[in-house]
Amino acid sequence: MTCDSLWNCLAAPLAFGFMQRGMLAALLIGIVCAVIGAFVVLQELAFIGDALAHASFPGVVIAFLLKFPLELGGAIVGILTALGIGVITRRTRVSQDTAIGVLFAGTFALGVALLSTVKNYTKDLFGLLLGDGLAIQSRDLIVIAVMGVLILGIVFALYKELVLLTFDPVQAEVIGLPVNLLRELLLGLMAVTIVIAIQTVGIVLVVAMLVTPAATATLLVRRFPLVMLVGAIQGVAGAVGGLYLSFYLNVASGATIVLLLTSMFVLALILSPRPGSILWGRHSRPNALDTVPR
Amino acid sequence: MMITLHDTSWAATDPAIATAPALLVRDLRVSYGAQPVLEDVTFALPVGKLVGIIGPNGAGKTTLLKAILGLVALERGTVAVAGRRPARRSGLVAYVPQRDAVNWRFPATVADVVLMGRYGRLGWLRRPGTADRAIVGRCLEQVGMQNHAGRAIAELSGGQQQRVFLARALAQEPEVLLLDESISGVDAPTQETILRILAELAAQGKTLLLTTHDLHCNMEYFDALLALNRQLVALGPVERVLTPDVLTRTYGTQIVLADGTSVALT
Repeated sequence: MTCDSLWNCLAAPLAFGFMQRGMLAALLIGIVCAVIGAFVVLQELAFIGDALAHASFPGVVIAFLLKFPLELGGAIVGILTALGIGVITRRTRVSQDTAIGVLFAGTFALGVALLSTVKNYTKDLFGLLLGDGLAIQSRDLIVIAVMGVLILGIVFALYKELVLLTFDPVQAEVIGLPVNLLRELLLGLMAVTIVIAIQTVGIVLVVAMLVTPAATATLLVRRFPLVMLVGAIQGVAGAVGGLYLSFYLNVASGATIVLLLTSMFVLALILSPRPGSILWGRHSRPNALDTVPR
Repeated sequence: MMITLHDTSWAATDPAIATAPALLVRDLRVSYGAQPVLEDVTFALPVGKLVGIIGPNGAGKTTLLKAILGLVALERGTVAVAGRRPARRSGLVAYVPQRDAVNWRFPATVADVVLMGRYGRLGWLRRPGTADRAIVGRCLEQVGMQNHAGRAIAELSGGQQQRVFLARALAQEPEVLLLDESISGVDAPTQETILRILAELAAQGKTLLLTTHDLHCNMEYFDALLALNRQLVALGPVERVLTPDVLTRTYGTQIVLADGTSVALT
């Protein structure tokens, strides 16, 4: 499909219902992923996020077999996996990294095995695994919007507690915050975010939606609220831009979104004026002698 | 009046303490697994004192601080601050941790971090207001970091980071401050600055406990030293604690006193 003017290029796809819904979903998902993603990046939860995404696969297959909502199945198994990781880490010698690795592969294999027994899987498997943001229905949009508002509301209400937990968990304990409960809550919010974001980029790529926008933001700004804001802007730009690119170039939409986000990250790496970027070379910290005051 | 060496029954000797010591620790016992890390630790501190905790690695210095804060389970014993058992959210006791305990890459300015010291007082759902920000400004002035309020914490030096954490603890408006190795790993001028600030806080009526493995720092600032090696070895004025006898019982090696104030361990 071709277009002549910039306005035409932007407006023409929006004539289609599937593009309208896809864009709206991209907007909502981009914002929620960046807000939760800020915590994911700074608490180093990317691996566990990837695991939760893959763990939702058997949940979807089981939900399909038992004929109840697929997102619910995905969310339930995802949350159970998060709890399982926590139990293994606390009760055994196995480290969290290892526990995640084991359950990651195990749950996904369960999904593959179950699926291989199903003769009439009518849903789009490619879309589930790799995203199909242009197949979103109005019903899905409503679920995304409601869940998104809920997640953002909880983060806003518990903002200072979650920030303190991320920056200094010991201090959070000292002032009496229920640290373990807050951690479980954050994992729960992640699991729900992942389930709604999977519809745009699929299970395999959803970790990029969680991590890349916030990671890019940390290269560009130096205060946490701005990480969420700049991350949201980039997440929306990447998701919307990716959908446009996939529309005109006829390339898989989930992948174009992630490629666009990754390119923005690389751009930030190269161009960022901060000491954290590649152009500055080795990041050196000032030593104590630099600071003799007054 | 400070207790004399070996005399751990403070309340009997000082009526001011008997009524409501700033910090009272009684029969404290903490174990990790089967091995006790702290045994039978009993002492009381009045208000307005800066007390140094010395002892070898593994002596339980950090564990003592964590026990007072309620961060580790007490096998036995009690802790009371200003006459009250400190509930977790009471805000009576503030903690200035070792520097490596924190994620320094976190995007925050100096002012952001000090403002976090107000979170305990605010409770759930409330946002910090102008009064809180005013307190942050005052705390930054107390530690001499008011000109750095807008700087990112990742850019600070070790000594500056230490002072920011101290300001955060002060923003909590506590009665007691517990500092873990705050003068370790910084150069002598920075040590002087921090100790001076701590002494000023003691003069204003706060009670401060500072662990240190550095016996070469300027001991003049301390009102007393507490020597710890799983058990309380001694608590008293600096010159009574930095003696060969006490140091041998604390550190377990032969001690040579080079001059009146500095110590060499052989």
